[in-house]
Amino acid sequence: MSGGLEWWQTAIVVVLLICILVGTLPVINTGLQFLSLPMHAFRNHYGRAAPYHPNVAVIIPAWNEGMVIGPAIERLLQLEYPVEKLRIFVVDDASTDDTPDIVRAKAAAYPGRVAHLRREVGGEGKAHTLNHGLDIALADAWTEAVLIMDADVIFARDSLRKLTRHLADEKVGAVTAYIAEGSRDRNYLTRFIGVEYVIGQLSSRRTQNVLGAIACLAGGAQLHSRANLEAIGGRIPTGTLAEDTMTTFEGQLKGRRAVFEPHAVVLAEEPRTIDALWKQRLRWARGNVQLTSIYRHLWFRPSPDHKLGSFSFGLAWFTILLMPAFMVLAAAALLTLLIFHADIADFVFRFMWIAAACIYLFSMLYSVQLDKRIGRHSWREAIMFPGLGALILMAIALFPWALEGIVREMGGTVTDQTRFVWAVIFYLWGPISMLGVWLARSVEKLPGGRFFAGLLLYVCGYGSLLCAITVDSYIKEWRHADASWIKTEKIGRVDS
Amino acid sequence: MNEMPTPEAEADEIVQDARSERRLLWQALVSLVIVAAVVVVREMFLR
Repeated sequence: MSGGLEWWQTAIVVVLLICILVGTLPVINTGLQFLSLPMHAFRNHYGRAAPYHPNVAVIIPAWNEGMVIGPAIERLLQLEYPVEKLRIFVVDDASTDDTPDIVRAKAAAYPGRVAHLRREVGGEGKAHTLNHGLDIALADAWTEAVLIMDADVIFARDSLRKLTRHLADEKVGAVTAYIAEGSRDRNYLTRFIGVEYVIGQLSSRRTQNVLGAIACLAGGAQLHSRANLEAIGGRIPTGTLAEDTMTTFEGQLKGRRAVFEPHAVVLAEEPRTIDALWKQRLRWARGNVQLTSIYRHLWFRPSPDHKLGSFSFGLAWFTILLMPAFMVLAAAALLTLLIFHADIADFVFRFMWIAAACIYLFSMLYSVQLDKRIGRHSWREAIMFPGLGALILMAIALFPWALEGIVREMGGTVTDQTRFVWAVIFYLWGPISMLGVWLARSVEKLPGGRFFAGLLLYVCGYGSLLCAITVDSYIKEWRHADASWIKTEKIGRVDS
Repeated sequence: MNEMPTPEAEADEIVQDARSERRLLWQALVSLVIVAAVVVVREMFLR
């Protein structure tokens, strides 16, 4: 139905256009994030940073980390940091491998610098393990700051002092580093993760520095002042799957600033299969769903004490949390518009995808420059980040005559019916790509399935994978599914 | 003893890191120019 519209049809079209606009908020937010990134050149914390070396207690939660804990401790002992100001506490969460032996050997080799804390009954989760270490570290007046890290991460030699320099400003309660994907034998998935971390940390967290509110201190490398930890009760919050994000929020709600330090680099080993990544991210996504409810009185309520209630922070939080819902809303609205007014639907589709193409191109060109190491070895994944399907849609939107031209060149005919079928597939591409990555996870376990899983991911896009995991997190939370802490397997692929 | 830079060197490093953040401006500009070039090429194709 095209041409002149009745008033009620016009009203429906307007409502649908609003739905499409709301549905494209994640794209708009990405654009705003990258456009405000240059402001970090002026709005950063370096003006208040100063050389500062507090006594740091490093707490490493460890459960069966025998393959990685030794190099991690050795690297910590080699940090450019005063020897007498660094103590390492490995909290062994009832490990059943050789973790206790390795840590005890290190403790014997470096008395007073490395301590082995054993929990005989483990499996309660990371927060409980950390609290075991915090109880001991904070009981000693020597501790002026606490570094919480993962057992598999490798700190660059200058990274700790690059973090501590921000604590010279008493208003800062916590600082986090740039966790970069650092496996020596990368595969397609770790290269995608590398690009994701550039977008999610080097871009997004810099923007959060500019806004004055950090969403999450990386669990693998977060430095807290003693005052910050004591202000939140001296313990990491339990009862959520996102203990690092909740700690970040609590510190800022108590009035202390959190800072992201992009020049403090920490290398981490990341999942190599879609299934392993799915389990890790499902934990994060479910944690974020839980926190959205816990902090329901915080969102979009500006406060003079913190920036977590600001509109921009809320927009960034909810566009990530509700990205799949936005994607489905835009697709459904576009499809309904196709029935009501095909010409408007076609115009909106092109406008949407041209805007998406510009934002994608800008953000990826920017990203590969932010971390040149990732840019060098993951540029293909940066190009393919939205997926081949989305890239084709961008090309169709940019060069609308091309598709029909190609079909005619190949001897095909294009009728109105063909165009309608194409439009339905194009408009529904977002939900289709989410189903595609769901399929990728299923086929990955089959013989030879890893190749097809990878192929599906390149076609559907890494963003669709994250969206599908978020959908799974809604379902798991709605069903109150088992929330036991599942550890991501790490076997020491990062060079120390 | 782990080798540590002097306080002066560390202070210089902070200034250097702050200065290196200004690269964000140039990187944004380069990215923007390339996007603009693609849009211009597209417009030329459309004509």
